[in-house]
Amino acid sequence: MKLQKQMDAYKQSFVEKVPEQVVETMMLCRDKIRDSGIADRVVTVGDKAPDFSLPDTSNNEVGLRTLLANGPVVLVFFRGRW
Amino acid sequence: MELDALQEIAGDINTLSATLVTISPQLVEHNLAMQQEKKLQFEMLSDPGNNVSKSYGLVYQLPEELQQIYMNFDLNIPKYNNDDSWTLPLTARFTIDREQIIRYARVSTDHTIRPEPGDTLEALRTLQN
Repeated sequence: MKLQKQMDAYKQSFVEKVPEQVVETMMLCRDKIRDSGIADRVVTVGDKAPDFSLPDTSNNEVGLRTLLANGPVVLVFFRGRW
Repeated sequence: MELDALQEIAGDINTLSATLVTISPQLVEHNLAMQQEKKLQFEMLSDPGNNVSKSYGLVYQLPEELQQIYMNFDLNIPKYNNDDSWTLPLTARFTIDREQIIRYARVSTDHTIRPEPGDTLEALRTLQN
């Protein structure tokens, strides 16, 4: 199944499980974040990707430049496992 | 869910001599647990305090009413991240070329919207040509 279809199905089952008031608050918060204009401040196509060096799952520092020495990088930001 | 879908294209990404890497503010131990549980074969980096996410312009604070809801769901984000700021990155996906230039960017202010992995793979292929 396509990823977005899975996401939609998960969202649908979540919405059916929790009180309507909670869903409403979550939707309002979603809109609040959207309307803050944050998306306009994100780096975009044509920009230089900011450098980083961060610990991997073995606590070894991994740097963007080191990765780029091997080829292009697909960089994914996500919120967390929860 | 997104990471499982990315795992499915991890082999294709490697074949293109590219590297797939994730960044999230959670502690290394949570990245490690996810990597093992989901059998993910790509790098997962921990960004304490969201400093790197900030440099990409992705960081926002969860509204207070949402913090309360998350706590009621037992989603103690300050504990996962060892950071009580309740800040998180927007979900985002980029491809970066060898000259360190961003060539593809998908960012969503709604974390329930994610780009298809095939879309990203296509962008990566374009980059190679």
